[in-house]
Amino acid sequence: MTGNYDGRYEEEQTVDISYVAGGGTSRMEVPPDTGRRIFVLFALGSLVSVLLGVYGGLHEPQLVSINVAGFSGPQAVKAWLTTLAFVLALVQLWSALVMWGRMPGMRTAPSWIGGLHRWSGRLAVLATVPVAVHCLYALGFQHSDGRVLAHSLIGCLFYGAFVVKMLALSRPGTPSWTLPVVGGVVFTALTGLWVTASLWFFTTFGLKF
Amino acid sequence: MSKRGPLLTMLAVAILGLGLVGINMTGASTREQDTSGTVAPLGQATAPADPAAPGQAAGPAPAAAPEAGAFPAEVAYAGRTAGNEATIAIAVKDGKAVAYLCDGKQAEAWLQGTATGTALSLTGPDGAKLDGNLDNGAVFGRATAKGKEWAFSAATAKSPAGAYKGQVSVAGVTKRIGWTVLQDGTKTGLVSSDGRLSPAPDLDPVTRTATLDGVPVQVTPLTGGAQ
Repeated sequence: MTGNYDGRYEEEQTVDISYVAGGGTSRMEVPPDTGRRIFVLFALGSLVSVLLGVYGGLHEPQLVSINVAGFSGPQAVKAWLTTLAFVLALVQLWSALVMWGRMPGMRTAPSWIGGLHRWSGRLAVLATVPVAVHCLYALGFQHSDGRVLAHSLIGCLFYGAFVVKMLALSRPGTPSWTLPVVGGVVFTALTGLWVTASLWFFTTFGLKF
Repeated sequence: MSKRGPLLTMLAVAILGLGLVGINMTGASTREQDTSGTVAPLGQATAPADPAAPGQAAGPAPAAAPEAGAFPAEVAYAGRTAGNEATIAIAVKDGKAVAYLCDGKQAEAWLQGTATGTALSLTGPDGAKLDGNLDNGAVFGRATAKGKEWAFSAATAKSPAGAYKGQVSVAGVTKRIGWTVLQDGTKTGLVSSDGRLSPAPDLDPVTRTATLDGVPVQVTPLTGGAQ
């Protein structure tokens, strides 16, 4: 922060140590191919994002798609499913902070926190899938106004970041910053999706089911 | 477990997503088949065209074969059904044909297919169908949409006559608009949104501009090559 060379060096070290403490694992040997590994993860994630965008752009919007019964319309279903995912994402953020020892007053993570984090994440992403399928199949990638363009872009980013996060979790040896950074991107993207869709829907049409 | 969990999560997401898309797609195609199966075979003129339809991928070469009175490489037709129930605009390019049928009230159909020799054969969603034969610069045939069948005729049309497609997002809801413009300037159109139809706004076919609820519409003319 001071711009002083030594200071920066210390800061890097601090991050490293906190990773070891928060992860609760012993320090691993950093494999020599970390760079290549992380490149592959991000390449796969980018591929998913781009493919979703290309599909959304090329596919002829059908204007209809299967949906969940019991709501006033597909838009209401999507707004509420996204809201569910967003609430679960807040659980994700909180449980991640606890796991990494960054939650004030909860320096030691309870044993159930990992399970909570995993299952809230799974439910959150599964809740987004019917929404995304409706978006892509019925509407496609659109750029008619700023909100819609932002929503389209963030939607593609979200699933790419999700793929990177899942791949990073499933293989050890990625740099210590991978999970917080990618998890942060997933959370930010979902928040962006909620703001550009559900919040917009509720403020435009009111809180309806 | 801790290593396979995330992969299983991803798998679950992929399966759910692809499953929903699959249901959507099979739903769309069975709807098409069901209704087209109940439609009686149309004009005899289409018989030679039908075997050619699956070979569409073979390219435009057969259509380009020099045959007396065959479709030009690029041409458009506009006309009406016999009882003036609906308007039709057809565009042909290199053996491929697209058409829009619209009554301006409750029936519309986007169709695509082939123009082989002098025969037109097009199909669309929900059993929509159009078969015609080129005779002396005009197309005569039969068209089916929304379970009704009409005879129609369509003469060669010059721009701005033809079919136009618009897309617009109003208050976050995507709407598709179709217009036919006849040579005499008659415009007929419908707005389609989530399966519901409503009257279309006015189109300026020369500047290709229209607005729906104050929002400018992206308007593209329908040409044979376009999907």
